[in-house]
Amino acid sequence: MAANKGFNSIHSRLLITSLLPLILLCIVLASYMISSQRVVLVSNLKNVGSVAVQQLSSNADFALYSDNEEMLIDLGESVLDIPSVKGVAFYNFNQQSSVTVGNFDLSAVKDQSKENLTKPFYVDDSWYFYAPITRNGLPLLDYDEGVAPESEVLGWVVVSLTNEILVEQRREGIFAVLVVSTLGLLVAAWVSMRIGRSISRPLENLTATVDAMEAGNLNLFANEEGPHELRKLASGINQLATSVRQYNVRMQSEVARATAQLQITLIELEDAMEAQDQFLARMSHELRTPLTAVIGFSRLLSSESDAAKRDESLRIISMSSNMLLKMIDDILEFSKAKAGGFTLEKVSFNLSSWIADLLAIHQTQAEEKGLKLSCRIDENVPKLLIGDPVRFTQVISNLLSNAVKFTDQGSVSVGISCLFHGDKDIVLHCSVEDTGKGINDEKIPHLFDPFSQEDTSINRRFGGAGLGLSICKNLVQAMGGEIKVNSVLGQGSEFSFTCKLAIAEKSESIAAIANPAEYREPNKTLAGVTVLVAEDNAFNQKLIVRLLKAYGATCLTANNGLEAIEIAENLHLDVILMDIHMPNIDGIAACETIVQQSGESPPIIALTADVTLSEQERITQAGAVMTLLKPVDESKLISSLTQVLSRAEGAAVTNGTGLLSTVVPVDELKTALYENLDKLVRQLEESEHPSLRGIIHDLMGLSGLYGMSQLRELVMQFRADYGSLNVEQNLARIEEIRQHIEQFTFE
Amino acid sequence: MNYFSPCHRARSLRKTAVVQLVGLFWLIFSCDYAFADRKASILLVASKSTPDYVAVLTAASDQLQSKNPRAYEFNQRYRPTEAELKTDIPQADYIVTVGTSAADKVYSLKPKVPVISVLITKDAFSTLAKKHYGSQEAAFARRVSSICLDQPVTRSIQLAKLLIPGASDIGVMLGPASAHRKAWLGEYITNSEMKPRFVSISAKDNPIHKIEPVLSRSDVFIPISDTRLINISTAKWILHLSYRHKVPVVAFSKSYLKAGALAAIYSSPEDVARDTSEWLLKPGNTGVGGLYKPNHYSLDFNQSVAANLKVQLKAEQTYRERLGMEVR
Repeated sequence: MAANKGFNSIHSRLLITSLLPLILLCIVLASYMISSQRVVLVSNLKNVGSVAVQQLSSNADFALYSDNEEMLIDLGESVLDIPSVKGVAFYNFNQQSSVTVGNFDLSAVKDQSKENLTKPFYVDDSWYFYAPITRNGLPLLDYDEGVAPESEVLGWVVVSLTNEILVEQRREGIFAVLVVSTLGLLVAAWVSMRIGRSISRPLENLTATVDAMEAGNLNLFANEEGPHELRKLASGINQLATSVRQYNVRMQSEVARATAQLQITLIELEDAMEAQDQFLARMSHELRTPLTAVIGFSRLLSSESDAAKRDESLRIISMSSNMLLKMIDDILEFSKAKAGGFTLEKVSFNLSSWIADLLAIHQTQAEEKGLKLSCRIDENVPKLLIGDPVRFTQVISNLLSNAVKFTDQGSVSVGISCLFHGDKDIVLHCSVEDTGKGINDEKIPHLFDPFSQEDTSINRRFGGAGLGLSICKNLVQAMGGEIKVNSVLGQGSEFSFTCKLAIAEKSESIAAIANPAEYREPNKTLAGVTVLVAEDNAFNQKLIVRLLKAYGATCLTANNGLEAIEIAENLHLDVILMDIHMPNIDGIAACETIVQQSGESPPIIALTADVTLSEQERITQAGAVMTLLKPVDESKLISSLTQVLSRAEGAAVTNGTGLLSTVVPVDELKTALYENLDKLVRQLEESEHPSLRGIIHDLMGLSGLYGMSQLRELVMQFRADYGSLNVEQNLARIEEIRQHIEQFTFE
Repeated sequence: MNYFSPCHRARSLRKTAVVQLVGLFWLIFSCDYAFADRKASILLVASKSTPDYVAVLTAASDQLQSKNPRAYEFNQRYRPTEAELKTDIPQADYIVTVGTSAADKVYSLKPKVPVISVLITKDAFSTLAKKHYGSQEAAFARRVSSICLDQPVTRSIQLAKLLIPGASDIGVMLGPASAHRKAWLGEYITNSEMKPRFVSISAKDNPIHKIEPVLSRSDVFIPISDTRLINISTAKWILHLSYRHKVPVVAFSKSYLKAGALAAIYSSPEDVARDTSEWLLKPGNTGVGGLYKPNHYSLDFNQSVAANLKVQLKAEQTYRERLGMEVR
């Protein structure tokens, strides 16, 4: 394993890669050098022999020609000084050895024919070189034109060279080559190891660093050493590690932040769960408490013979039922607010009229507690505004209800002023001030939270789900305003809110209603009023009839829509309470039929348990002037009847006896009516799909308020017909209405 | 008669000068008369076109031209073919052959105009004359002449005496062609107060064995120009023995001098050209031919040999002034 790892390591591979070629190169070079050296040595030996024999042959001609043995010996001895030369022999023309010099073995060459020898030959460790000795004449004649005489061979000279020196030189050469090669190889190996280590060591360090980083130690830094590429690699690893490190830190930070957020969310969830538990517990308590009272007193009622006690039981049952109803209404409102379900209408409405109705509703409760209820509307507040009067008065009603509820003595006053007055818009500042017990400062910040009450004793004492102020806050915000509270403990509280509304054209400020008590007594509100109660549920029918009778009204009943239509067609009715879901003909169809009947139709208040907007839209389109949700709240029912009757009352009397006819000049009324007629004309002329229902509704309201029954009839006729007429015909109808208004005068 | 007495030599020189002067005037007048209407055409035929041969032709032409520019016209031919010669020879008034081969080709055509052959040894001329005309005399009769290349041996003996004043023994090599001169050479050397040592070489002899005994006992050695074979076969050994025995050699050619002789008297191309032009200007050259010795010569020394033999050389002009004009 270790050997395998060693072989696989980059250091070993680099070493092998660099050393193997070097070893092969050294071997090849050494072989080449040895071979070359041998060739050179042999060549040198041959050159020496050739030079010596040529030298002797060129100089021995005279001695051989003159047969001078001494001279030949001298010549032969002259080359014996050359280390390799062993001996010299001179042969005459007859190939008879004439002279030998040195150690010359004649037997080795005795069989060689000198005439055929052109190359040196090798015999018995000796080289032999031959050369002919010739006689050549000198061209010593000037202007010689003859042919040069041929050279004459006088004899031969043979030089013998020993091979021993050559062998010795070769041996020394081989040794030198081997030594040099070995040294070169060692140096090359050392250099290779150094180079390999210079590459492998940084790589090993990098590998160790990467291993450590893989193990999670990102604080390490790779040494930027070695060749350029490795330094760049190390730099890249360091940058990568830094990035990973920073990423880890960022991730840890984000995880910590998310954990903290989760903890906060968990706490909030726990709080929500706790709030839900509290809500359920409270709802259970709140619902059980009045139900228990209703159930208990209902049982007592059956066995009680004393009339006073029965009345008392009935009063308690009624009060508990109202409490239950109020609580359910609040919960529904709150749910609607949470679902973003507030749909604000934009209709023209008379602010002072709506406020007056509102005060009338709360007047009874205030008087029961001995409280003075007052209202002041600043003069610069326009008379006619455009907005959702129901939602606007709902906020004031809630605040007013709380003020009456929590004030034991003193007064409750409503104030409306103008914060901003533009050409088209206005911002109202509305306040409800009481002289009650005030609110603890610590509780104020949570006062508008849902299910929040100052303390549990309030719930026990005054009841309620604690949703009223929360609903108020949502409504105010939906109307582009804000709500706040200013309270001094023991002195009283002031709840105020702002509200942005549009100004109806040519509206004028109306005088403040100084004394709401000038309106009719509440208990006499329905006296002399004939009410048709169209309700298929006998119990509810009986309940409503008894309730209305208690307010002095004369009640007729219908068990379905058909009966209601017949009664409305045949009898005089001041108002109809129409249940929507009835057999034979339902309430919507009945409304449409009654409205379209000839003559003046009584105002219809629809009763339904369907709280959906589409249902309410259908009811409105059918001709109902108002919709009340079942189960019907007594006070709301009475106030609604009062409101409707106050508008429609004029229909039963002569012109000019409307509710506000005595306090509003006729010109102003006509101006408001003309404005609405102008709006109708503009809608018809400018819009492909004119929205006339809201304008017609306002026209009907104005005509009702001022007792203009004929006008109201014209408007209602127009409402029934305008969908089937063309633009010109509709404009003609409007012109007819306009002429009727011009001719109208209060008498 | 003593040809080498100073009185006789002076008289002879005067006579020769008068004759040459008269001849020259006659030649001028005759040429003017003869070629009053046309120029004399001289055909120059050379064996080779080597620088020496070209120099001879050019120098001879120049010298003649300088004497009388309007008298001659030259036709130079180097290694001509027989056909060319057959065309050129009838047009020529004189034919000058330069070299043995050129002479051989011209003689073979037996021209009728005077022919003068230069750069040819006496032995070669004799051989060619016998070959084409039967004898030298017959060649002379056909107006064939030659200025031989061989310098007079007496000049070499005089020079040897001047170079080695203390020389007593003078070795002389004779070949088959020069053997007949041994007698008068012996007499001349003796008269020159030296002792002659002759060695006669034949083609069959071992030159070393023959020359070395004579040369080794001589103070100076003079090889006499002989046949080509003798000259070539002996020169190497003469110079070798000269080197071994430290005996100076006075040679007969510049090549000999370069090979190891101490001094040499020879005919340079300019000398030959001058002899040629003089012959052409000489009156009566259109008559019977003859064999003439060269009047002009060149003298040269091998300074290295002189230094090795410890011979003190003097200025060339010194030797030239002291060399006599008399020749045999």
